[in-house]
Amino acid sequence: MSESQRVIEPWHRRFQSLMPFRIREILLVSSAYDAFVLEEDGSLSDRIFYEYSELSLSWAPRITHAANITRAVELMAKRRFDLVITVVRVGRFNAETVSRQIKRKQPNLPVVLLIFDEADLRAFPTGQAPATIDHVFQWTGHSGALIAMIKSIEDQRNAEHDTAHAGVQVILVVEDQIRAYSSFLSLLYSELLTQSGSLIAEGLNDFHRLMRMRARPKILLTQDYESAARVYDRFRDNICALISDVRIPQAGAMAPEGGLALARSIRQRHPDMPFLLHSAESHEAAAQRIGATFVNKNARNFRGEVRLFLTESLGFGDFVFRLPNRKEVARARDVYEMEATLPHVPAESIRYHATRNHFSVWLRARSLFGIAARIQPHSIGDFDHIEHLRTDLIDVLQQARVQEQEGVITDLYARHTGPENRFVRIGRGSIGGKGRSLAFVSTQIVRHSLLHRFEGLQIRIPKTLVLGTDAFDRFMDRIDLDQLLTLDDDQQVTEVMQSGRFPDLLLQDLSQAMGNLKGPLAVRSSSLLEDSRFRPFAGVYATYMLPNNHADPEFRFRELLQAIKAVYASAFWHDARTYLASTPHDAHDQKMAVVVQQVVGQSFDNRFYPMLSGVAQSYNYYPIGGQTPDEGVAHIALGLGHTVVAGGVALRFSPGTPTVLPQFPTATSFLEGSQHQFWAVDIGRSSFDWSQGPEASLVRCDLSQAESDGTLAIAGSVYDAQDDVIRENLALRGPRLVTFNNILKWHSVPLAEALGELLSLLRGGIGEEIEVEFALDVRNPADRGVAPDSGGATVRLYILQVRPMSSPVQPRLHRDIEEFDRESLACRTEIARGHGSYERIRDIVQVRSESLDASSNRSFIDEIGKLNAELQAAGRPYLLIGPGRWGSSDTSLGIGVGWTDIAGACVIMETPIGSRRIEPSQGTHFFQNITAARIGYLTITATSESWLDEAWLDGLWGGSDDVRVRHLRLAEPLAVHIDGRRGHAVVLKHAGDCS
Amino acid sequence: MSTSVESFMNDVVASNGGQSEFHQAVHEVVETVWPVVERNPAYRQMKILQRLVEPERAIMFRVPWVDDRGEVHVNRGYRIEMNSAIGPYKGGLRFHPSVTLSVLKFLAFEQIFKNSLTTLPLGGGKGGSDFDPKGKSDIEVMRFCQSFMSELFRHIGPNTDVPAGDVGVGGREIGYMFGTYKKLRNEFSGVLTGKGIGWGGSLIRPEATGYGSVYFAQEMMEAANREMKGARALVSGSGNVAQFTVEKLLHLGAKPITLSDSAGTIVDENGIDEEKLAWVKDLKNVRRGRIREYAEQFKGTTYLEGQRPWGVAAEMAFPSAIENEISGEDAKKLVDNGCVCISEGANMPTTPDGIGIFQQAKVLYGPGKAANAGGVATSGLEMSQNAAHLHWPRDEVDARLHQIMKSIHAACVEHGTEGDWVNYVKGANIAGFIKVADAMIDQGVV
Repeated sequence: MSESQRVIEPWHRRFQSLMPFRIREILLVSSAYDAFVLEEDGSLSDRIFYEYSELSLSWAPRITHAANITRAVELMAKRRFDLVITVVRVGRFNAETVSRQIKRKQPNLPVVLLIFDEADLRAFPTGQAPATIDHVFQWTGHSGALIAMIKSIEDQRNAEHDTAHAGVQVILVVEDQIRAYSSFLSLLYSELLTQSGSLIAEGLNDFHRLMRMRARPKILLTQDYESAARVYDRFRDNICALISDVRIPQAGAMAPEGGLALARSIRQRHPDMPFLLHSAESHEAAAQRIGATFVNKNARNFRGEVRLFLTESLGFGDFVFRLPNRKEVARARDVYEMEATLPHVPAESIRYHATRNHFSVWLRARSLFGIAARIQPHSIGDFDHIEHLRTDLIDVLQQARVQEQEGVITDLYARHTGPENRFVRIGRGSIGGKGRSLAFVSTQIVRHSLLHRFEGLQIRIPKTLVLGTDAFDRFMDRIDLDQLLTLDDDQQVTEVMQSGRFPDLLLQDLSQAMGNLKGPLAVRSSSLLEDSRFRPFAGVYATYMLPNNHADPEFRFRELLQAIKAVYASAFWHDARTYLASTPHDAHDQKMAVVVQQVVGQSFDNRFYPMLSGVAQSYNYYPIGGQTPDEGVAHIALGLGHTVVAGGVALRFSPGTPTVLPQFPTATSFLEGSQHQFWAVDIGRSSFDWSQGPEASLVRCDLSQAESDGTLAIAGSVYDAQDDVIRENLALRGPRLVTFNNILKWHSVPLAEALGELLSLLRGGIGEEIEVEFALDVRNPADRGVAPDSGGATVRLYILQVRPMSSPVQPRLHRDIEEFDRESLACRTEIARGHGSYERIRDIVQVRSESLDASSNRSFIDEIGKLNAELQAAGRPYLLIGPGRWGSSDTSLGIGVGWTDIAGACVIMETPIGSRRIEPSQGTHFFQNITAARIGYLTITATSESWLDEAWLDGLWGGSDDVRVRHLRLAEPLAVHIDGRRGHAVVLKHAGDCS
Repeated sequence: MSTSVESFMNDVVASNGGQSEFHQAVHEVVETVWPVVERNPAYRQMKILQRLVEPERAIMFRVPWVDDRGEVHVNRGYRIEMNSAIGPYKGGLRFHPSVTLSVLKFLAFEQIFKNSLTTLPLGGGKGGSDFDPKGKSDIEVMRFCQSFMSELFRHIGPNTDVPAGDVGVGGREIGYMFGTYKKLRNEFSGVLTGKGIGWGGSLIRPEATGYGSVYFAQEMMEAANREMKGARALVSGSGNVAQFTVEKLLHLGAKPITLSDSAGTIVDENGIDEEKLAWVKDLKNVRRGRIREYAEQFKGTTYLEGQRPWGVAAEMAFPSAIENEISGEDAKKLVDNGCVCISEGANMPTTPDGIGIFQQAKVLYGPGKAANAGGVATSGLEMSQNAAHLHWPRDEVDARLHQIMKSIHAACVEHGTEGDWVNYVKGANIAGFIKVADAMIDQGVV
């Protein structure tokens, strides 16, 4: 089957090119994942749609994606674009190159640079965006920033015209910090468009209000006193409000009260103009004297204050069924009420609205593009009788709703959410990193027909409910955040959060939605900061597994609420705050969505678990034998994925060569190193002790239980000691082994093939190397194991989440690492992760191989954690060297440090334990955080290509041999150079040698 | 004519340039047997040593194979047919990147004497390839084995050369090679050992090493007029060898009281009985837990974290874990605590210091080359069953293993008796050599 045949265009794209309006064509030069964010995030879709589709006759801006500059230039030659959005790096080129080439083709085409961190600007020689970039916005982790960016540019271009022709009003905004205005504009537009959106809905029934909507105020952003004054002079008669930071640049320098000065100046000419001044400092009195509203930027109700300031009488409305004489006869708040109401509405009302295309327009406003598209072609002439139209409308609503709920985000309308909904969102706001990635996967499954692509294997996402970030905001409105942040103890934080309350309306929605989720539930964080493009917070926040099996639905609901609150609480736990401190964000930036998923699996007695779970990465940095890097690598384990993500014993294979298992070259090696226990949700209990953390509801099981459950029939084998071979026949006596031979070797399930394809598709879609968490559910596993072609088994591969493997922005490599003399090197290896030069390292923390002692692993962790805290506080990045696998939960494989124990290291090194070569710790959250934080990661194998000069290190050590964790302070800094392309690295004894 | 070990070695080095591993192996053997050769003019006249160090045949061949992606690879295959004085060449095939001509000659040379010591009619050989099964799929391993055997088949046979498994060659590889041999020769014969039970393999293979070391200890104790029944026995390790050592000790009435793993040792003063042993087998083979759990499971057991068993008082010791697990200090503790019999189930578990202490104390010390010959012996028994077209039941194989261990012990006594004490190290070294040397004289200069 060809690619073109396989790809199904999302329904909404088919309609986007019908009615151009404003910025109609956007060229996004970036990875495909950004394109997805623009098009699919729930809140963004709504707002873009309300703005463009409803007001402008069913038209939404078309976003065209180019994954590289060559493609971008090709597209520009063929089509006209109104805006180009790019990011700091697109493939091999940076934004300067990209924007220069675009401007060379079309000098007037605005180019926006989307940055993820203000430090990204350092990628440019001047530290400023180049002249070929017209606007710079920062990705705040909130999709609203993108629409704010589009609207802001439109407003700036349209203001002159709109004010002149229609008297449109202008809100003047003054803010100079990129991060601040990106965030603030997002908030402003969010509020403005929400209110506008309300007008649209009512406008369907009220032409005058629609006219008011068209005249929504423009927001004009300026970044200093002088430009604000110029804008004021230019639009003096149309400016309806001033919103300014108190501290703004004036006359080339930062003026601590420049905003106040500006307000005073304007007040002289505009005695009644509303002002909103904001600052992190206290200026209430001064503001009051000018007659301005003052809001502290850090105030808990900042958003509410802004909302209050903007709001006059805006609303968001229902579909009002009217007779031709405009008499209201019924009202539908949402599509489900529409479906329920239609049978009872008078025929003339249906005719009235159908002839005016009100149904499709109203549905379109709610992002129900598919349903709207099916309704739109109908006209009265199509039907002999109006009842045919009614029936057809109801059918279309029902059918389209069911069909299109695969692969789209469905908003919850509490009274009518049906069991067929696979991805349901409650509340507005963003759905967070995990939520968004799942939504993306969901669309890819539909787009590439993955559900039935592989014979005998369905690919899908678990039933998922996402609580948007607004729910978090509303919950946090009732929590004293500043007080919360004074608490050091996670337990106390959790207790405070558990005492918080959700709004009643939200509880109703949640209760309704929960009715569609059966069996154990995974309650996961979906922070905007977590799993974000550049700083994944993988594993920093909590995931809870709820048995969800109590007979009383009220009890189950309370447990769910507690779990959600516990997940919220984890945003303010010590580890999360520590991680946050190493990023540009602070606790006030926290916006957490929550993903509630049905746990994949089946129940067996008191256990609930999937056949297998795993993590697959699209790039294999440790290819062995016939494996190739691009074919990726997967780690799988029987039961819940806790085994894999916690760094336990899992089976590692490459989807391209699933029968190559370097971990297990011999039959006996399975005996020594394969999985012999697994995790399941404990469904023997209905509640658990929250203080025990996320593992409280899990139970560790032996393989004998899997055998009695029938799951080992497909996952397991038997070691035949007499013949020294592995046999796939559990009827034989002998040690049971988790080999997954039935799947990987005998192809009873096309898992490897499916993973290979998924990794390839998602890598292409997201535009960088990615990591996928998945679970495989096999119904009637015993049938499957015995007879691979048995029709009795139903096999489903569920994608649990997707995230980028690492940051594309790495330190630069300053030298060719092959050119150094051996004498100048302390280490060389051909197994290195990361890329770039890590120079001026003045500290080494070393655990010697012979010191490792599984029984005292805990004390090693404590010692390392203590040194890490000291070095981190002193701002001294260090090189960490130790035996085995860092971060392993198996104490015989290495030291089980957590991320926060080593967060200050800039390079970590793993040395052999005796003659044992320990597999590196890929596939764990620990590893994920290491790569995301751009920490160099070297593995030493003690071969001619991979060695560490321990004698040199010993020479640096002046202390006692009894010290197990050495802290070496270097008189001269050393340097680590990693060539990520080749996977080679060297440690230079003296950094100066490379200058 | 060499007049000293040094001059002999000079000749060996000169004619086997660059084969350092082989040089070392020859040096160790020659040093041991030189006094015997000195005393026996026939050995010198017939140039037994000079003939022993020269392989009867060294076959080196190309092994091309195609990987799963269609790419062609070439490895080098070897078979060193070192000595067939007392029987067809017998020795393992090793698939490992470290395999070279020198390494295989070294191993083949040692194999001559190991096999001879079993008292079975087995010559010495070794083979293999620099192929690394790690990182290869089953199908790739199969293709390699087929290519390897497509050359080797013309050099081996049940009465000529009978390879077995070794590092990197387990039941899977033996199966693939046997299948290819069968197809090429159109015969089903005992050309390889280590075959599956269902197609020519022998029972008792997993048990052989552990059982054998206990049988050897039993012989040593009997020869010293000591009672094994009721004797306290220290067993190290908790894997295959250790488990079957405990099993046979129980069969013979001894009282095993320890087991260990890399984290520590359990000491069960009540003795590890059949029921507890079954629990250990489940722990180690099925649940794959730590031996520490034994102490949690069975009352009256102490757990010595990070320690080996050798500080515990007992009459017998069975090092069954790893190399160099008994240091000089450990050996002293054992002797001081009244240990009279040490039988090595592991390979080279005692350091040279430790061996010296045992020999000085004149305790019964059965070195690994004699005490753990049970594994080699079952290969011989597999050949016998194949030749007779029989499949012996478990008891019969066990009985024959017992008999072989008795014979090995007798040979050691014959050549190692020093007054009222038997130097089993010396006995084992010399017994193996003399049998081969005499056979070579008997068969003339060939």
